[in-house]
Amino acid sequence: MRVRSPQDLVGGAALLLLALIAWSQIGELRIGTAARMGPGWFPAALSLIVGAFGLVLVVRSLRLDGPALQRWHLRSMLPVLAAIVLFAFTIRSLGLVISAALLVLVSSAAAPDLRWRDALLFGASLILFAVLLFPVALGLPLPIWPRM
Amino acid sequence: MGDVFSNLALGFGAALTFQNVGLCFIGALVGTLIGVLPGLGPIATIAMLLPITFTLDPLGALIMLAGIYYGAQYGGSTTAILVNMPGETSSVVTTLDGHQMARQGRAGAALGIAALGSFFAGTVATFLVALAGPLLSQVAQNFGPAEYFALMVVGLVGATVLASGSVLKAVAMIMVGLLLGTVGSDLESGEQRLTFGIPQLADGINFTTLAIGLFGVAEILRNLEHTQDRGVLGAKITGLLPTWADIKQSFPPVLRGTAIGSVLGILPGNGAVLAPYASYTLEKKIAKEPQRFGRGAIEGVAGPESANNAGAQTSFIPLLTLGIPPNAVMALMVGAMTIQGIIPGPTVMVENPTLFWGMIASMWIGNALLVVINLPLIGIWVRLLRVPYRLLYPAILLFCCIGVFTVNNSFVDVLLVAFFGLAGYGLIKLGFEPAPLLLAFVLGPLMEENLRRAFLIARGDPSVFVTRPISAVLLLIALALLLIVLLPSVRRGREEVFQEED
Repeated sequence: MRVRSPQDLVGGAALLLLALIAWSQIGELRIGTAARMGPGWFPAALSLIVGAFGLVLVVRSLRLDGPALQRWHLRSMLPVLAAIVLFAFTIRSLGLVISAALLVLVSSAAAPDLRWRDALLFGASLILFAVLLFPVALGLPLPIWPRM
Repeated sequence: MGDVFSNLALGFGAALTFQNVGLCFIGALVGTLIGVLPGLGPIATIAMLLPITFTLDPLGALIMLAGIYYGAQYGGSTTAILVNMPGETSSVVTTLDGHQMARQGRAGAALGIAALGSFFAGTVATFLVALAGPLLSQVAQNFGPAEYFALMVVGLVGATVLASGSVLKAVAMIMVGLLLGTVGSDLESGEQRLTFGIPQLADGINFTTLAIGLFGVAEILRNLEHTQDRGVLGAKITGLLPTWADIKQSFPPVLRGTAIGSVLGILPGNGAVLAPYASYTLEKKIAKEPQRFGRGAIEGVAGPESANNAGAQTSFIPLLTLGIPPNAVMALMVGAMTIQGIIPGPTVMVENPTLFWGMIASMWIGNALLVVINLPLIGIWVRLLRVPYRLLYPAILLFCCIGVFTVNNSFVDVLLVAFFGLAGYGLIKLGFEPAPLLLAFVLGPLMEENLRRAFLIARGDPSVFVTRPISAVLLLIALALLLIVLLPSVRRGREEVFQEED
């Protein structure tokens, strides 16, 4: 047996995994009957269907030729995701100015053609604009400075 | 007929207040801005700007969001013509002849005809929405749970038909979207489902979070893979008004494009995306000298641009009358309406006529404003195109994070954005398309509710879906759509159409 479509194999496996995770969460939920569906009926049916699609994709990947796996660009992916996570954990305690600065700094590192001087200048004016727009002009409940 | 005019008068009365025209202008302006910038789509932008509309009244909020949507359709053409790069997927075809015209020094005429053609199409489509709205609403009054369920099946099948790539994978994405939609409290019993014990998930996954992750962040990750090289046309753009000969040559394509776009826009499953392709193909087929196409034929700009705009307008019809979004952008509008306490559906027109007609009237106002924005401000858009992506994406990212955070003041939502961003990137890498997923995610809870009700009424007898005539017809349509897309000849044609897009 030879894998003819690595992309479909991984995609199918991912669907199977998702179906398993969803199925494991149904646990105590009542499934019920078609006439009186319980809370578990729809999710249970869907996880079975998603699992079936995963299985079909896996089988198909062994029979039909398909595209190879594409490379993941970790070099740009990691800074972007890290910047979002950092923002999530700092926004409430450190306020918009500092967490936005962190976000801009960390995410800028993902650019293949980064120029720090431009990025810093542009970032500073961006943060000023964001502060003036969201908490000040629109009155959205965002802390601007760190909580003392 | 008289009703339509009195209704439109009511709508214009509501939409022509100082505040609403202002909001329409801002929406159209922001929409054009993101339309011009490649790599930032309307889905991510509307999701990102949703919190801004919290403070507005429902009509104002919807007017602004709608403005963003058709502004983006419009702005995409500017980039397509000047940079040979589609600002939006819907303006891919415009690059073919529009950019050639620009190279021959006729950028002004191309931009002008795109703007005027779109305005014409928008006007016609606005009238169509006003005419078809009440009719469809009446039909929808007879809809029971079985019919609604069947209608949503048609919508979802439509979304797979028009998705690019593998049909199997598109259907799989729909199932995943439906599954994600079940996360949160059960409608009847209030029990927690698939929340993994995370209290912030008790109300379900926020659709802005999902949309921004799958479309905003994943798109950034993909764009960062290759540095973009944008050869913006350096020469000054002159002569924005097309000549009389240009107009005479473009008028029939504009008419045909408007018709094609209007029809395709109503179809569930993002028919609007297909409209420019259909129009371009038609113009090329009936042209006396088809070899002119691809070398700067003005018909190749006029037709698709009109089709594109008409489709963008008429895709509001299923949303406003049936409460069923035909594409991912409209799914976001559902979210916006729900936040404002409006349940989209046939009752909106009866219970909230000012909102319904005000929004329709605002579409026409918005189209007029777009001509004003697009033509004199071209210079600014060109300069904007020269801003490098390395400065742009941190800004997009920041607005995404602020937007998501302010929806619920929840840091978990921001974390989920990172998660869905990663997931979205993975989907792209594995050849799955995220748009059907988002549509299914929004329709999921509605579908489950109607399925449960239909079964309850029929005491668990599944034949209810085929014995009720409307439901049976709808399901047959869905089946036919699915069969058509699986036909070998259509399959090949589909691949060709979407290949141009990639």
